[in-house]
Amino acid sequence: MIEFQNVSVVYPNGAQALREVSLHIEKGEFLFLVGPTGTGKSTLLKLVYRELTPSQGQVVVNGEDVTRLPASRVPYLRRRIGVVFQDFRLLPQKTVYENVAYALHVIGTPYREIRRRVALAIDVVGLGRKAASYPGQLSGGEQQRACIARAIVNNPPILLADEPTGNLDPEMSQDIAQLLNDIHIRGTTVVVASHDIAIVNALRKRVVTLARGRIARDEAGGGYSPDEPEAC
Amino acid sequence: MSLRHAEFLLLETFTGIRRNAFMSLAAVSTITVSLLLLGGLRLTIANLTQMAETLAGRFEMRVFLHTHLPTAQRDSLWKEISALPGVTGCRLVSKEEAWPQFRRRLQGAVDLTDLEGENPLPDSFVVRVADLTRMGAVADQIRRLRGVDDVLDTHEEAERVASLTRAVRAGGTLGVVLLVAVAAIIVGNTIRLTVYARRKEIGIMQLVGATNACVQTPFVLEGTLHGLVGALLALLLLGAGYTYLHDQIRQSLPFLELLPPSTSLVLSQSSILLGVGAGLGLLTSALSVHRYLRT
Repeated sequence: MIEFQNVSVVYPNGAQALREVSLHIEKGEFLFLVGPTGTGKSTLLKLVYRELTPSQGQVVVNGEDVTRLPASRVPYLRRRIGVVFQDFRLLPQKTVYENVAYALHVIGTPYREIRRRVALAIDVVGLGRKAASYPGQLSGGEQQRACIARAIVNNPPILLADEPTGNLDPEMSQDIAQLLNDIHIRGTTVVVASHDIAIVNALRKRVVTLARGRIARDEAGGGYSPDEPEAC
Repeated sequence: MSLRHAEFLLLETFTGIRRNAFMSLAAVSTITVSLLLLGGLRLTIANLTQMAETLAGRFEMRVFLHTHLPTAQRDSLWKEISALPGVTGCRLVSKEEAWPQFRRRLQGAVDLTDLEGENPLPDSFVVRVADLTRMGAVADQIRRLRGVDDVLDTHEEAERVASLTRAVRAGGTLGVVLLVAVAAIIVGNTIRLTVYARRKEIGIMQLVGATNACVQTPFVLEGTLHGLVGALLALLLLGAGYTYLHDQIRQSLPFLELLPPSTSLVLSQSSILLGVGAGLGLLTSALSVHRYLRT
């Protein structure tokens, strides 16, 4: 489903974010990307939804080499990938309902279909009562739920989450992790970048540890503790 | 683009304006003020030009013929003067015609009774020229003709008025060009600010798979609408202000002939202001959004 082949990323300032990373993610898999800040977790995710292109190597998503995707095709790639951010990135002038609906409007979904699917997505994340609220009126956890609802409303085969619990308290984090797991159970491929030990250890999924831009460990059903030696 | 999509983009535009009401208000009022200045300047120039032209039309020269010139020679002189290059009109004022005017003008000041009904005035022509700057040259040509006694021309004054008209035109054109440039900068900056305030939204829209056209269209429609509304407000204010001023001046300074607030004046103003407003709104919003589109 997602394939990294020998991928390296060098930022314009010369910083090397990824070094010859190869990684294969199966359809329907749930994978944690862990490691200290600055080891390339976000970079890896950005390559999938073409926020970035690698300096070297190939990234194949749904059988398509996204590194060679023309700019005009990028929106269509993103419609098949839901993305959840640490800072939520909700449109401040739109209600929860409108934020979620926006993702469907831009792909030309009929209004009746939009109403049905938005209601469903908001229900899945448990935000039914807040549908008419603006992001500024919501707590961090609620905003993250809205962000997740927007990411899944389109039923994308892939869901990416970049530090989804980074701004949340531990209790809220467990709820969000559970929500991501529920989405995975419905058949979505989920990739979560996180250094939140609690949620990684709670779910016992495949864990890929990054260290200084390389894959240091790749374990099924693994856990994560920050004092592990950072092997290269 | 499907109808459904067009409907969504239109709705997005109006929601955008409503939810960013303060920015919209700022943009519209800035556009109104700068277009008001532009329109005001254009009206001033139109009036000054009109005044200068009316004034220029009043300049004519008087050609006096020798007294007792035979009628046939007078008529051939008329033909000759009319045919001179640059002459647009030549009207005969016969001595019979001039006499009562002359007497009326001098009534009471001079005693004319000793003339005993004799008319001492010569026949004369009133000559107009197309180009005031050539009046002196035409007058010299006429002076050399046989049968012409004297030419009273006003070419120095006429030339002054002509150069004044030219100066008004040139200065006015320069002023309009400058003000359009200033308006472009102000309107452009205002609209750029409205887009800048929402630049994060543009990134988010792209992340959820909106195409560039889908992101750009509501912003561009919004910018164009801001420009149009600003121009309409400027037009209304200008129209009301000018009509009021025109009436006031006609009452207190009736010799100042201002252009009446006619349909053609309204049309010429509205085409420029609406064009500049909408054009600038469209162009600058498109450029501004384009800057924040990353792919």
